[in-house]
Amino acid sequence: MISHRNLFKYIFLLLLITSISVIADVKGVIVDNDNKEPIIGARVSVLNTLLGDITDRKGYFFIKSSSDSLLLEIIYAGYEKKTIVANSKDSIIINLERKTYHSNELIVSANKKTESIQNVPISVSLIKSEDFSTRNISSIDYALQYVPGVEVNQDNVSIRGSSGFSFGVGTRTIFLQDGFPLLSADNNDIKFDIIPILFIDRVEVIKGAGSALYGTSALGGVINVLTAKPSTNPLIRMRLYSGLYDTPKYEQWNWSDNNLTNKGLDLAYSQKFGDYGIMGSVSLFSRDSYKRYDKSDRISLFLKQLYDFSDYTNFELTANYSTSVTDDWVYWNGLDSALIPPTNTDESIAITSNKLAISTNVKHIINDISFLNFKLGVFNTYFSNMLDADNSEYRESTGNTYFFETQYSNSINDENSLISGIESRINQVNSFTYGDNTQTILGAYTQLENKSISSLIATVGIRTDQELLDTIDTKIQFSPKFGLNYSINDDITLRGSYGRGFRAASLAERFASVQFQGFNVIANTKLKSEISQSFEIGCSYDIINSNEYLNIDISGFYNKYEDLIEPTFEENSQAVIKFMNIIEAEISGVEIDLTFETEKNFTFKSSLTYLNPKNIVENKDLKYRSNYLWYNTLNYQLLPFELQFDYRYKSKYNEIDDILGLTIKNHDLKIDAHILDISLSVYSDLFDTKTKFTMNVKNALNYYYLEMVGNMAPIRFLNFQIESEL
Amino acid sequence: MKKYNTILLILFSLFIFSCDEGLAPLNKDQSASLNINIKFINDWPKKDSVLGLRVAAFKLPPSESLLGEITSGNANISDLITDYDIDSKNIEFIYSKLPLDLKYIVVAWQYESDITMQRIVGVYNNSIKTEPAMISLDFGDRKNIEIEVDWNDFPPQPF
Repeated sequence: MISHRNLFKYIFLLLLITSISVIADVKGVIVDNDNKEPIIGARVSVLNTLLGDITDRKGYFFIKSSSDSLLLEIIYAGYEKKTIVANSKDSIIINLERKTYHSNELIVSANKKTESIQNVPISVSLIKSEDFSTRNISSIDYALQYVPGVEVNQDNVSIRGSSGFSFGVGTRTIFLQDGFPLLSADNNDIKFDIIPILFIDRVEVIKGAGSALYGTSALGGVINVLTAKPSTNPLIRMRLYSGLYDTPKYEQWNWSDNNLTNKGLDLAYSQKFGDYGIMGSVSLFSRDSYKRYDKSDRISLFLKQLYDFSDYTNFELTANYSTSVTDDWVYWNGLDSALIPPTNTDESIAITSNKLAISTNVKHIINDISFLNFKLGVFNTYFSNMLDADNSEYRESTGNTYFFETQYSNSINDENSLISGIESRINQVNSFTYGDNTQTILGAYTQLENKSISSLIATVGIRTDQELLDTIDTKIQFSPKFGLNYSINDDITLRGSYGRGFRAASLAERFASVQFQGFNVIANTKLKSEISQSFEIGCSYDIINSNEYLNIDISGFYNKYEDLIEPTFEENSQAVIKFMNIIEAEISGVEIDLTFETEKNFTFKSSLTYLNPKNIVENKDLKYRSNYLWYNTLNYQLLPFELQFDYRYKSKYNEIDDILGLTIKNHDLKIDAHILDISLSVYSDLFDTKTKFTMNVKNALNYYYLEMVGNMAPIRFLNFQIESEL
Repeated sequence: MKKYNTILLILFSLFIFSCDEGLAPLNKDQSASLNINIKFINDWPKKDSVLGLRVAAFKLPPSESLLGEITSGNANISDLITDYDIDSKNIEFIYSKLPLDLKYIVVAWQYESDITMQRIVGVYNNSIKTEPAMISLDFGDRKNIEIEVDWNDFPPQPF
C-alpha cells in the first residue's frame, strides 16, 4: 500500500528524472514544397516511440528529446509521407510533396487513439477549421448541418435518424471538446455556444453507437471537437462579420420595418513560450433574427493553458465560459404570420443562460509503448427566465457535471494494442424546474486492437456502466463492440462493425415539472435507460489517376432501439407532456459518399443518405425523421478567389405529433427542404496579415421550409466577413 | 474542364427542377382593413375651438402623451378631420403588419392650435364608455366598428 506521502515522493522523483533526462529539443517548420506555405495540423512522430507533435497554425512543431538525433516521420493528408533524421541543434525546414491524389485523414475519436480514418471500422466525417470560415459559422450546430447523414433540428442533433424532436432535452449524441463531455447536468443537452470557433482544429463525427468507449449518451454517435494547439510563434486572429436578412417575399410575414441583422466579433491569441503555451479567445455575438421574439446576445470566453513538465508528462487546463440572453421563441402564430409568436405571448420574457466548463488533462508517457491520460473537470450550467418564483411559467435550473477519466494505452507489440479506462460522471442539479437530484454514472472500458493478419485490423472492446439514482433501480449496462477493417489493396477497404449504445435518461426527462407557452411537462421518475444495437458494413474505393482523385464510400447500417424515450402527450389532455419508454424502433439505411478532387483545385463532394426509421410498436415511421438527406458541396479555387456552393436536400417528415395541432396552428404542414448556400472569398496579404474577405448568402433561393413544427427555417441571409491573422 | 461543366450543369438542372419557392401564406390577402364609423351626437362646440379631429388606434393602452405614443409606433393616426357639425364620418385604416390587436381606439379633438391640446371625445367600447374594447385583425379581415362622440359626455381621459 502506497501512502499519499510516498505517492507524492514517487511522482516528484519521476518528474525529476524525466526533466534531468532532457538534453535538447527538435523544432522546425513543415511547408508545402510547391508554394512554401506552412502546413497546419501535420503529424510529426518520433519513430518507434510515442513522442510527437502536431504543427501549429504557422506550420511549426516542437519535440523534446533526450537524443542528439531523431528519426522523424511526417504525415499529412494529401501529401507524401516523409521520414527524415533530424538533429537537435538547429530549427529545420521540412518540405512535403503534394500527392497527386487524396490520402487519409487522421482522427482520434473512433478508438480514443490517433489513427488513419481509413483504418477504423465505422463511418466517420470530419469538419475542418476552414469550413467554419468559408461558411461563416458562428456555432457548431450550424456546421453539423453539412455533415453527411446528420440533421440538426434546432438544438437536436440526429445522426442517421437517431433523434427526432425532444424539446431540447436528452441528446442521443455525446458532445465532447478534446474528449471532455459538454452535456448539461439537467437537460443533458448540447451547449454549442461554449465552443471557441477560432480555435477549432477539426470536428470528428462518429456515426453509430459509441457507448463501448464513451458510455451514456453515445447512442447514436459521437461528436468530438478538437481544439488547436498553441502556436510556436505569437498568433493573433480576428474575425468580424455582419449580415442582413432579406425581406420576406410575402407581406404577411414582414413584421419589421428595420433591417434585421446578425453580427459578431471573434478575437484570439495563441503562443507557446518554451514549455508553456497559452490560448485565449473572446467572442461577441448579437442576433436580431428573422423571427420576432427570437433575439439573442452572447459573450463567450475561452482560455487554454498547457505546460510540458517533461518530454513525458504534459498538462492542460481549459476553461470555457459563455453567457447569453435569448428571447423565448417556441413556435409561430400560424402560417399566415409565420415569423411572429402567438399573439398572447409575453414578449418581455427572456432566458438568461450561463455556462462554465473547467477541465484538466494530464498525459504521462510511461515508456515507448504505453501512456496514461487523466481527465478531470466540471461543467456548470444555469438558466432562468427571470420571472417571479410564484409565476406558473417560472423556469430555473443550476446543474454541475463532474467528470473524471483515467485512460491507459499500451502498444503491447507490433500486432496488438490495448486501451483501458475508468470514468465517472456525476450530474448534480439544484433546480426549481427539475428539483434537487443527483445522478452518478460509473464506467470502465477496455479495447484490444489486433493486426496479426495481414491487411486486417480487428477491434474488440467492452464497457460496463452503472447508473446510481434514488428513484429507480438501474441495471448494469454492458456495451460491447466489434470491428473489422480489411484492405483488399491500396484502393479498396472493407469495414464492418457492431456496437451497443445506451443512454441514461436525463434528470430533466425524469423530474421536469414545468409550464411554458401552452405546454405542461410532468415528471416520470421511473424512466429506464434506452438501448441501441448498431450494425454497419462499408466499403471505401479510391479511383486515382495522375491528376484526379475519386473516392466512393458506401455503407449500409441497421440500428435497433429498445425503450426509446420520447416526449408523449397524455391522453385526454391538450398539451400535457410526459417522457416515456414507449418505443421499439429500428432504423436501417444506406449512405453513399462521393469525393472528387482535381489538382486544379476543384472539389466536389456529394452524400446521399437513405433512412427507413420504423416505429415497430405502431408499425409506422418514427416521428420527425427524413427519409432522404442529400448534401452537396462544390468548391473551386482560383487564387486569390474561392467560390463554394453548398446544396442540401432533406425530405419532409412523414410523421409528427398530431396532437400539437391543439396548440400550434398549421402544425401539419410538411415540406421538403432545398437549401442553397453560396460563398465567395478573396485572400489577401493586406497590411502584412493573412486576410480573407468572404461574402456568403445562406438560403440563396429564399426557399421557405420548416425546421420543426411551427418553426420556419432561416430565410435568405447575406453576410460579409473579414478574417485576419497576424 | 468540359466534364466539370457537365457536372455543374447536371447539378444545376436537378436543383432547378426539384424545388419551388416552398411554403406560402394560406391567405393571399396581404392586409386587413378597419373601417371606423364615427357618429356625432349633441351640439358641436364653437367652430373656432374645433381645430380638427383625429382617430387614433393604439396597440397598447397609452401610458404617456398621445403624441409620444404615436411617435413611438404604438398608434396609428388618421389625417386631420376638418369637417364641422356633421352627423357621421368614415375613416379607414389599412394594416399589413398582422396579426394585430388594437386595444384602444379613440377620436381625439384638438381644441387649440397647440397640437398637444387634445381631448378624447370618443372611444370604441362595448357600450360602456369607461371600458375600451379590443379588436383583433388578421390577414384578409375587413372589419367595421362604430365610435360614438357625444359632445355632452366625454369618456374618461387616459391621463
